[in-house]
Amino acid sequence: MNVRSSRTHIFLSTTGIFVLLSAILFFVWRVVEIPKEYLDETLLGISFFAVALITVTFYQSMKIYDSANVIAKNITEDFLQYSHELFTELYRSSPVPYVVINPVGKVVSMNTATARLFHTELNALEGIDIFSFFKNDESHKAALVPEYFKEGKSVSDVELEIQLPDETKRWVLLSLFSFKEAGGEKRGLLTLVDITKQKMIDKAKTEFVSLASHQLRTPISGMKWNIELLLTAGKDKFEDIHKAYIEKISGGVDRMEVLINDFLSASKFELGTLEPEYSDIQVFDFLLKVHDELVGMAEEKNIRIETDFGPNLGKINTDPHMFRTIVSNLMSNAIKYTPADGVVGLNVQQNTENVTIKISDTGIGIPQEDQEMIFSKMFRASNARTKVTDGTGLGLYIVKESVAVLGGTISFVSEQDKGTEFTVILPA
Amino acid sequence: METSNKTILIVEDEADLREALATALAYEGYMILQAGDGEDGLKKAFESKPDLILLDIIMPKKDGLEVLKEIKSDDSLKDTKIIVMTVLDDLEKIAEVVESGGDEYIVKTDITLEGIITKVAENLKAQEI
Repeated sequence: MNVRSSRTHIFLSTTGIFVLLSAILFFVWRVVEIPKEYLDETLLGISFFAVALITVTFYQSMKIYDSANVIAKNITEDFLQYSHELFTELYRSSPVPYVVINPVGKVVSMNTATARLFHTELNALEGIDIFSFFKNDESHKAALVPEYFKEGKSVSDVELEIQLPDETKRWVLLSLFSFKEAGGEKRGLLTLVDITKQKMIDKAKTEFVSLASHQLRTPISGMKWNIELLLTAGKDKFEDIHKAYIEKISGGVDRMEVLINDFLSASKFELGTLEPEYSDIQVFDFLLKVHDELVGMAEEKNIRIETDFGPNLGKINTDPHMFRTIVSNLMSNAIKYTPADGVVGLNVQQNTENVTIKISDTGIGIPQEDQEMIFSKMFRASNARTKVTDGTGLGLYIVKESVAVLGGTISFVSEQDKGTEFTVILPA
Repeated sequence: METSNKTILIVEDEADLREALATALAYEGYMILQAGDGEDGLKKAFESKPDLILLDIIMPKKDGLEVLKEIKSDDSLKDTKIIVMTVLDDLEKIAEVVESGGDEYIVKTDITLEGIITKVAENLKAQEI
């Protein structure tokens, strides 16, 4: 019970007793026949008794209230003391590196885990600008952290590479939020979780995928060339049924090659080893070729491809391989996820600064709950998994990474069972 | 172009690929020589002075880039066309091929036998001019 309600309680109790006594007095006066000559004395006596009772009740209540207050205060102080000790212990001994900074990013205090991470003594970083350790980060994300802090926004789970005072580098998962100290001064609490080991495991995994994909490409070349020899040398000797089997093998090898190339591309994006190779291409000629390659796939499902090439299409300077991958992946997805007799649209417009490519379909759409994840590696939307069984979930990831490497943007609108439209804008 | 008097040396450690290439090119009428590693390739190149060499990069004993440099530094093979074959699509290797005097490079996984036959014919035709 808080102080305010305790007071109200005492006031109400005292008033209640007063009203009760007044009622008894009134009852006695009206019901009991008091001889007239004793009436004044009786009333006076009862009044004195009433006042005395009220005073005693009030006094006792106040005493109880005061002692309750003392107990409550003691409990609060004990609790505060306990909380303080708990917080201090948690802060000091937590395995998570914590750093408290002032409004300009200088370290106010740090815990043991931070000292361990930075290979320094406890509190050795006090007064040093914490953001100065993030300068080597190549992703430019580090530069955003102080800005967010200045604006009072929170930062959570940003992966950064930091350079320690002894020049070694570590990967950390950074979160930062601001709070006000008891004195009212703004502070920031940083957590820096060391994720170097996970990053190395991740890199080793990616390198393994890259190496495995490389190695797998040689036997694939062997298979492809021998299939080609079979089809050339045996074209007059084989019966149709044999040729059909060979075609099936050939189709399987082609699919395997696409998968391996996807794994290889994805691992290259992850390792950051994919450098774009720029050259000039004629947008119209280039995209018409991509379109022509996919016409057969669309015709198999009686899907119509509607093209709308804008009037100002000319040259752009881009990486032809990535540009092709972007358009080809989006278009083949559109065909793959559109039921028979549907329509796939390819709309291309160009101005002096960029080229905008819109690829639309009347397909199964992307469920609302999956839309946020659609560009993630190995992710496939729930309806895509059930309706089209093959697919690695790498296609859109590769598209997104390619668009990013080429300095463009990608977005989409989609409604389940109605269709999807992707918009890619690339610099011209 | 008359193919029967042209000799092609295929230097490739993967037997499946080497034999497929040999079969396809022999079918076109070329004289074919084969080598399974860089050292043997270099030996056969100097012995037979082929008109064109199809040269793999990653090979045992001596890799394709070393073979390429040695051939290009020798006058007796200055007319020999060299097409470098790779599964690597990495730019540094390809840049090195061009710098070391390779006439052309092909990425094995991206090309059909028919495509290689065309490239071989083009290079040999260019040699005649």
